[in-house]
Amino acid sequence: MDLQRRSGDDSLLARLRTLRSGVPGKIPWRMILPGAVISAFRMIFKLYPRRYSTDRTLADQVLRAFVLTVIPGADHDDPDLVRMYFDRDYPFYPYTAFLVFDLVRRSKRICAGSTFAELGREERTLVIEKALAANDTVARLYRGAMLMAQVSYYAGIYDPEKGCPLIDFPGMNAGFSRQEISYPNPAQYLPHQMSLDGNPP
Amino acid sequence: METLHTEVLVIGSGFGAAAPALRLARSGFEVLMIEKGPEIVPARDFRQTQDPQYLLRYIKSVRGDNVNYIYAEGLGGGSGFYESVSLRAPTIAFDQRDGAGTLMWPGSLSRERMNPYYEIAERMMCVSQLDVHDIPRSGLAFARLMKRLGYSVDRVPYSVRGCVGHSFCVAGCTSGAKVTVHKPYLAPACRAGMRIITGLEARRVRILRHDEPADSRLIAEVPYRYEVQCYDAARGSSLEVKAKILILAGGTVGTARLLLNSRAALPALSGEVGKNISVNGTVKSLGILPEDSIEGDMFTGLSHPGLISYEFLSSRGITISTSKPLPVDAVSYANIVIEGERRIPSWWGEAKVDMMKLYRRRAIVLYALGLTNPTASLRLRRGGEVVPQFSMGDDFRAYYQQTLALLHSILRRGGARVAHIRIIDAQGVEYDDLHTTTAHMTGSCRMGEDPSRAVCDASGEVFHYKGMYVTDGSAIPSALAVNPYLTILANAERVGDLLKCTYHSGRSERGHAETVYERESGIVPGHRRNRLHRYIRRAGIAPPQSPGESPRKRTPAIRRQPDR
Repeated sequence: MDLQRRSGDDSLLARLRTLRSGVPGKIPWRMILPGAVISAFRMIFKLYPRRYSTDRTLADQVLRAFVLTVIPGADHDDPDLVRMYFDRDYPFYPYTAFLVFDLVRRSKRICAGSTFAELGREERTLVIEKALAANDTVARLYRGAMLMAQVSYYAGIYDPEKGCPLIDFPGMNAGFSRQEISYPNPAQYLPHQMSLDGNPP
Repeated sequence: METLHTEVLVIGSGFGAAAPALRLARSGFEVLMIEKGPEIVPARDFRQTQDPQYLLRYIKSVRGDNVNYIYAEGLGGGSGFYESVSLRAPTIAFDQRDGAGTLMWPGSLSRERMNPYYEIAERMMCVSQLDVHDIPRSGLAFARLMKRLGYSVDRVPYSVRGCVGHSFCVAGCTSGAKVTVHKPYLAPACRAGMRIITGLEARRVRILRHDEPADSRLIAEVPYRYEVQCYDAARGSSLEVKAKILILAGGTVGTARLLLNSRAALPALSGEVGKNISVNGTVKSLGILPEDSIEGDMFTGLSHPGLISYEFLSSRGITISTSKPLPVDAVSYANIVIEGERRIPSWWGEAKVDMMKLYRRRAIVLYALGLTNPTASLRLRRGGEVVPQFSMGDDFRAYYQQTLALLHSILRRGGARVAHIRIIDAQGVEYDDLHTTTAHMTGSCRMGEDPSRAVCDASGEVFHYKGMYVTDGSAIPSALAVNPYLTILANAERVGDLLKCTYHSGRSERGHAETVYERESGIVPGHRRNRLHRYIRRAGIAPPQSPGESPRKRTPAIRRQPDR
């Protein structure tokens, strides 16, 4: 496994390599640290292969498959489908590479070496469910990623004019006619009122 | 450090700030208004979007264990983002007593005493009851549900002129139909000489000691009483403002934060600052309409669907409305599971998509607002920020469960399926206890008669600090069971009126010609004007301009920039 290099922090790298190789002594760190801590370390110190941070094509394929699993029926060709994961304005951005790494790693482990993007929807669902049931750190990461996907897609945040056709959300609009807003003879639906002017007594 | 001097300093620019600022500016006082948030020109800055990046520029929140407070920061405060629901507080709201049996409101204040100020506020904000033909479909679906059960509903008064039903009220109205404080208050106040500085945060208040002439009413004879230390984050510079009259109107969170940070310099301040906050008894419930119901529509018409029921006001102290949260709310703050839904997972994947497909036409949201006790508070943290706390006692838990059961009962008896909402935090994790999110918090610096139980008196003047007034939601001492803006504005009008009687500028009145809004509001009822504007829009001709009113600029569609 490569370790992502960051300039100017050789001493940190050295410490991380020590961590990676096992602390203390020869006891593997997996055996002494709970899963949540390991995942947090991996995420914070970027202890995963560098290509998950740099290979945008790989990340795009994996994340598209992820979003299409969370939102079946979403437009696969939507150019903004996974944009929120690379948007530095949103807090998820620092964790995107780890999410891609974790999805690929889990799918290989669960589905006999296949990468996440190659799986069918049921298998992808299984991978995500297992991640949600893993440790607290990973579960939070996945819940956050799903929340990002749903907010971004259903609310159409990158293309306000388009809205979200999947749920019939029209997005930006020039307004609606009274016929579109209300029904004919609306008084027929109204029960008695308690006030004369709409204010409470 | 630069120092400014002004007769009146108004901190904040929302409903609580706008009224006294206008009244005093027109009476010839030198008024300076400072606002922490950015300048907002509604016709230029508002957008039809649910993009969190846009919303979070103006909408802020503070999070606590059991409660989140949401508020707006920007010129005009909450008036840019409210739902236009313009309701007077019910009579019983003014009669509420706390656990010790003490009246929460000062004895001199009642609905009857407030009515003249409600009338002023309504006239200024062009409030009129929604025309029956303008009730959105979701409102009619709610009305039909209530009618089947024999319950009443009332059409809500709104501060809207010429609504075209974009349904983006809470993101800022782009058509200029929603009345904000900009036109009726801030613009005429500026014409009367008021200055506004945006992007300037008031951080601390210090009292300036002087021998003050007894009963000095002429403002020229009043010494500078307060020095406010301000910070301009954009420039990284500090500024001091010295004022004779200080009006605190930064909102329930902002005013309490300022006073809590100023306690060392204001030692006689009441110990009640930051306490006694009401969350207005907010309880929400989602349902799926029965097959035989008419369809609603979450995406057209006013954000608030126009109707409210007072059926349970006298018996339970609650009002019930229906609302139309946009998808971003529905998906980001809740995991929603429809009763009887057996698919797992239910909050993402196919089940969630199917629920979202039902959302526009078949979903109905009921929410109750109630007269709950003010038991929430704000605690000052290191660094000067505040964190909310909510001691959710047995009373509130019982209220919440009983009210939720009532809402579920209304849905089920009306043939709807209940959808259970599990509130989640920003990381998608469900809260393990009751959690309430509200933009209706009031009372962190409440009015009262006793300094040991309140922060300011019935005139809004802070106990022991002459010339310092609280005029925003923080002064409102109780829950109201309705949207609070009209009460905040009416109370601010009342305090502004009292200030005009207490002090004299010694100058002639300025800019007192009626504004276009004031002139129009007395002549043409809102719903008739709505029809006129809609007719004009369809006919494709420019809207008529009132004398002195500049043509409304069309806001071009603003798209987010590609990846940076």
